[in-house]
Formats: sequence, structure tokens, C-alpha cells
Amino acid sequence: MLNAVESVTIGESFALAGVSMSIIMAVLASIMLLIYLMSAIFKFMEKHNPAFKAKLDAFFSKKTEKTTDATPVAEENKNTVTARGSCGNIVLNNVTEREAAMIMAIVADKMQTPLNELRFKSIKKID
Amino acid sequence: MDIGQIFVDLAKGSGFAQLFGGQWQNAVMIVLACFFLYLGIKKKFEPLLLVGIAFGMLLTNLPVASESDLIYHPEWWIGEAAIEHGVDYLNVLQHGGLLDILYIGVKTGVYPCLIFIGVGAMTDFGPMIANPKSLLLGAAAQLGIFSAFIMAIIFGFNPSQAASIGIIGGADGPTAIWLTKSLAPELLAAIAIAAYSYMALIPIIQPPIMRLLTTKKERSIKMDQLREVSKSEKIVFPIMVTIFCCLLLPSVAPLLGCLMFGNLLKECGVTERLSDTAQNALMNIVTLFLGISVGATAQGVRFINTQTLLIVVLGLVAFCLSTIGGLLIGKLMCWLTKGKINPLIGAAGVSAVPMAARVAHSEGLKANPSNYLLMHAMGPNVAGVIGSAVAAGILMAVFG
Repeated sequence: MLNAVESVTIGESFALAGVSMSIIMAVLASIMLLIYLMSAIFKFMEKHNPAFKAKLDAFFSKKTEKTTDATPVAEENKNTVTARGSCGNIVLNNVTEREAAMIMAIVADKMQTPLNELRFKSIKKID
Repeated sequence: MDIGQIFVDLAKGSGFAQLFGGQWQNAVMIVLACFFLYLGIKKKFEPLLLVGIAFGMLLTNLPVASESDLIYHPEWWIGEAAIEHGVDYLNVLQHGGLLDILYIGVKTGVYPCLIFIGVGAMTDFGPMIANPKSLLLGAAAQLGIFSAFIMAIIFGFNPSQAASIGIIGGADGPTAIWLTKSLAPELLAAIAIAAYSYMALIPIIQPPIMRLLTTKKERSIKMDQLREVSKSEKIVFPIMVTIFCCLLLPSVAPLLGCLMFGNLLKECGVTERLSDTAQNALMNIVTLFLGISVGATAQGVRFINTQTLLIVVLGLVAFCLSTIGGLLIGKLMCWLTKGKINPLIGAAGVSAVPMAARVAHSEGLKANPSNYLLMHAMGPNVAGVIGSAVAAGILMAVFG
């Protein structure tokens, strides 16, 4: 634990600001490197150990199925899944969660309304 | 029985008599509270917090007949006895008013941390994981914190107060409150109000700076679509960051730990109920308590002074310099990548999520109507939240 600094001269404040900014840069740069490392490990595992990828896919698809079972609307259409929004569930029809998130963000932006104040019931892809 | 005397006594004991009989600062604060209510309700300036803060200001500045009627006792929290011997929580619990009880959550740092759980549960770190370089933009946008710190020292604030003023530049309300309640509780109201007001004013403050520091050609740059981030990466990320950052800088543990915990609730997929509670019920309850109890600290006698005015000015400077820091590193990255990064996303490194990202997006759209920067700007934006939490941790470690 550092001892609390009681007084700081103007010169010291410049030094302190420089050191602190360097620490922040170093910490966030380290997190950046960790993310690159994590992504590389996942890519490597998926490439060299297909069983690992299958296991992961199965793990997450299980959860999606579970959600789908509970929604009557989803049962009608195999391409329909539900995604959790900030205000209840959203029915996604032939739309990935990523696409839905982008649509919701754009709508919120156009309406100048925070996303958590909007309620999306369903998003359907029209071919 | 003298009926006239009864009326005179009643009039003397009323709040109106006290208001106009020497407590003019309270009257000014009541007007100011009404102005903030107007800004929150009519202009929608961060209404979720500003309405609570303004109403807390209103309550605390209304005169009462006796000490026992007070709902907030500032001297228990920032008086000399409290500074020398610490807060007497037993006394607060036994004799405190409503706002004294609620203020315990501010003083102990519980509210900002709980809010960070909610923020984490609402944040998608996907854009940042997809483009880790955006973390550097989030770091650069903390420049305003330390520039304002230096300026506050020049203006004669003590180091703890200067650190608390500087953190306004982080554009992160809960972080500002978390640091200030420990380092300079006497400035809490001014700093919280300045931080939330400037966060609400981002669409007005940032665009002129963006246009001044970037060319139309730079603002028009379209960025490559981000890669898809796997669920596993999103789950591992908060755990990894918590372990790494808390080992490196233990003082960031309360804020960063809560942020990452909230995010893990969202991403792990098996705690949907908890995630939903953190995003909605918990967040709303804590916001309610935080707003009203922070507002209560703005008592006229303590609030109306030149110090408050200086804090407001320094806060604005800190905000502008943070935006400039992000933009300059954005320009540098644009140059290094030969025009693959739009420098506007650097301005989103000030953490006000998602307002700063939306401003970068709309400026990009103005320059090029087919330029959708929102997802790219979300990376530096959430990186800014981590950056400001780290900055607060460093300041806490040095001055706490």
C-alpha cells in the first residue's frame, strides 16, 4: 500500500500525471495483448482440435434450443430463435443476434432514444 | 391569549422566514435545483440521475424548524470530527434522517460499485475484443483527467481535491463519485453534478472539437467490418481482465471487479435472471438512492463559492482535453494504418457509454452518409470505461 501523498508541487504534478498516463497506457496495452493471445489460443484450439470447437458449439446451441422450446412463436418456425433484450425477449426470425444488435442500435440512434428504453418484440428478415 | 402573537410566532418559525432571514444561499440552491429539474425533465440531460440529484438538492436546502427535523446532517460526514475520527455510523443509524441513511451507500462506495455491476451487465465488450487496438484509444482519452489534475494544483486545490476534479475528465459518473467520496467528500456534490452535466452535454461539446481536429476526408473513412467474437472469448474476457488488473493494481478491484462481474453475468448464459436484475431493477434502485443522496450534499452554505465555479470550469476543460487526447491518438493510428482507422472513434474513448460512440457515429455519417461507425466506436467507448476505472484506481492508490 502506498502512503497517501499530502502535498504536491506543480513540477511533481506534471511528473505524476506523466507516470499515471504511462501506467494507464501500459495496463490497457497489456489487456490488448492478452486479448490477442486469448483469440490466438481459441483460433489454434478450434483449428487443431475440432472436437473442442464441436463441444463449444454444442454447449451454446443447447442453450439456444432451451430458450426456443419455451417460446411458442419459435416452435412455428425453425429459423426463429429468441434473444434476450434489455426489456424482455425478442423473437429473431432468420436474423442472427449480431444483425439484430446492429438493427437495434441503428434504430435507437435514429430515434435518439437509449436502447434500454425501447422494446423490440421481433425482428424478421424479409427476402 | 394573544392571537396576533400566535400568528407572529408561526410566521417566525416557518421555513419562509428562515429562507429570507439570512439563509439566502439556500434560496439560490432551491432555484438551482429547479433549474436542474428543468434540464433533466424538459431537456432530458441525463434525467435518470439529474432529476434525483436535483430533488436531493431541493430537499436538503428547504429550511426546517429544529435539528431533529433534518433529513441530512453534512457535519456528520464532512465535519472536522468525521475527518479526524471517521464517521460515527452508530449515531447515523440511531439519529440520522432518511438521506443520512441513504448516504451510507455513497460514503462506503457501495452505490458506484453496484452501478458498475449494472453497467457491466449492459455492456457488450464484443467490439473491443474484435478490435483490441481500440483499448489504446480508451487509454489516450484519459488525458483530460491528468491535465485537469495539474490545473487544479496550479489553482491551489490540495492533491486529493485535484485528483477528484481531474476524474471528471473520465466522463464516468460512478467512477467520479467513487473516487471523490474517499478523497474529497466536501466536493462531492459539485463534482457529481459537473460530471453528469457534461456527460449529458457530450453531443454539444464534442462535435466542434472533432471537426476542428480532423479533416472531412478523415471523418469519411469507412472501417472494415469487425470480426465475429465467439461466446467463449466473451466469457473468458471478464475473468481474465479481473485477474490481471486486480493483481496489477489492487485499488481498481472494487470498480473493475464489479464491471467485469456484471459482464460475466450477461455473457455466461446461465445467470440470465441475475443479469436481468442487474441491468434493470438493481440499476434503477441504486440510481434512485445515489442521485438523491448525492444531491443532498449540495447545501447552499457549502456549495455556493468560487471553488464550485472553478470545478465546473476545470471539469469542462478536462472533458475537452480527454476528447482531444482520443482524437490525436486516433489520428496517429489512422496514419500508422494508412487510413484504415477513422480518427473520430478516438473521441469515443471518453467513457460516457453509449453517448460518445453515438456522437462519433453521427459525425461520421455527416461526412459520409454511408459511413456507419457505431460498432467501431463502441470499442474505444467501453475501453474508456476500463481506462477511467484504472485511472481512478491509480489516483486512489496515490492519494487515498
